[in-house]
Amino acid sequence: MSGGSARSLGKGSAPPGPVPEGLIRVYSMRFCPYAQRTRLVLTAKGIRHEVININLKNKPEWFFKKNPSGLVPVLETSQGQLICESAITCEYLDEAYPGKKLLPGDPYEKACQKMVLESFSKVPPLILKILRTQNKEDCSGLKEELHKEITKLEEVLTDKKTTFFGGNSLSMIDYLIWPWFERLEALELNECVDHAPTLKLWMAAMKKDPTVSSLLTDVKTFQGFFNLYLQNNPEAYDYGL
Amino acid sequence: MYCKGACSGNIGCDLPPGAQAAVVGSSFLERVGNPPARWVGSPKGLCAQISFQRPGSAGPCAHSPGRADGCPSLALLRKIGEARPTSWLNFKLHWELGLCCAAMSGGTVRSLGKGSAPPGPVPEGLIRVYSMRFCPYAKRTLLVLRAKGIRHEVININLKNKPEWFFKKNPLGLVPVLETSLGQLIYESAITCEYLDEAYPGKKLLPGDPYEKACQKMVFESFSKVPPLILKILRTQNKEDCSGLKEELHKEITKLEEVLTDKKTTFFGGNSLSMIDYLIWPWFERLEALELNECVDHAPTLKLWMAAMKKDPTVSSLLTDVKTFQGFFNLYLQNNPEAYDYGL
Repeated sequence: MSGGSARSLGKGSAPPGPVPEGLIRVYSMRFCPYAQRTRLVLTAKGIRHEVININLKNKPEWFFKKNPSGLVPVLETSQGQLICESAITCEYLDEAYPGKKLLPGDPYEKACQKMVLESFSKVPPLILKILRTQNKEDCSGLKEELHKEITKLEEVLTDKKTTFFGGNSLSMIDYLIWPWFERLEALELNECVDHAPTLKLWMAAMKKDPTVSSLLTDVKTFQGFFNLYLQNNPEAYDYGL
Repeated sequence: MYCKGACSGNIGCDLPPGAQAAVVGSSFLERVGNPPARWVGSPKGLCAQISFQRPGSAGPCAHSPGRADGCPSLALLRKIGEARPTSWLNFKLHWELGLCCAAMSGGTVRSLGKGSAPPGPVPEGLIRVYSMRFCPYAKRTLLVLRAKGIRHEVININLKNKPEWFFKKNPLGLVPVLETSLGQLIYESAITCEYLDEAYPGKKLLPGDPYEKACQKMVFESFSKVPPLILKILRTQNKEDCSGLKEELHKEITKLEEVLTDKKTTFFGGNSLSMIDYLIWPWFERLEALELNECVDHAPTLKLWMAAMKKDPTVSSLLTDVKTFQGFFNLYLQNNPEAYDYGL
């Protein structure tokens, strides 16, 4: 269920069969932060699922029938329904499956979580740019921008006076933003949270959550992936297997 | 004429049901007689709430886009009364024309700018939207408010001359923003729309089924390149760049045409209008004024959708005409703060 040991499927691979009843399938990639959102929610809610990893540098032709944009994550149900876009998959899972609700029932509280997600939205593309930028000058400009965005989030959490972004228990918004904070150390960006003590406490609390810790990837594995990824090497996606 | 309270009470009207508004008086009925039978009990005109009720007691229902000005429907009734209509048809024509004018200007409230006094708290039973008459994002929120019959007041913001207090409502300084009577603030247009659908009773615009809801959100995602493209086209003077952008827009519109054709339904959420249609409509509304109708030339299903949308009472009551849009766009491109009150 952790999907950590499945080699990725690439061009020429046979299309997978239908999803067995009682199961939901997620098309994923072991190091994709967006797909990690979906896997966090699947795990947190105890949803029976299977993972098919996709080689994103060598995509199977059949994968574009699952998502015309060719991106992960994608959910496929046993009825053949397909859901794309990480945030949409997470909300779908929370609504369609029983158990603990990760999104609040109150419309205003739910809207607050979505507003936090919106103010987080500049972080993923920034972090991707930083990863891809070799030039030290450009990099320091980007790091300053990231520092600003992180300060915004620090203020949000400090104003709330709670441990997590949705209150005193972990909820959807925490899972949605976690994957990028998980990668800060491997990207040598820990300095960006230096002036964010509330966020640092939040990160520590997140690492103690059973769901988060069961899906943690260690720094060396991330760095192995990043190295091969930056060289456009298709073997990046199966690094460590 | 008096207000029968025919609406659910969620419209922004401070007349209690059954209250009398001595507009034309009982002599009107004596002079003019009863409304035609076929008008009785069915919605007429641009306002979906109008219904001519039982003969002798008919009255249009108030539908107030801007509470600050009182009820424009009542004001209109008074004006019509002064003109002493001689027949129901005469009355109906004046009524519809009057509503048309009110709807086209998108409300009559002048925008607030720097130095304006911050508005007081939102009265109970009402929700406030900070808006701008020509903002397509804010239009989404106005469409949902009206579609669900939610009592609301509109405060328009001068976006080239923002009041300092407005940044306390939304640190980003953008419209739309919702403010409740509890002082809760909600911004980002799609978030405001979903909030309204969940927090208020009445017809649900989003489907209850999680998969159907996810489908609406996926359509919304595939629409997402259109707004920034259209803004770029508006701002681009250079003909070469413009034609490149128009080609990109054509591609995006083709994607949506395929989505709708595959669904085999009139609207993007099925055979009735729902949230996704309201969320994408404002940009299609502006195509004609931006001389971009060509971009839907090869999209017959979308064209049918646009025609069906214009027939929807909510959409048509909030339509802005081409000339008014163009007047706004001209001033907007000159960075003229008067753009935001164009036509008032």
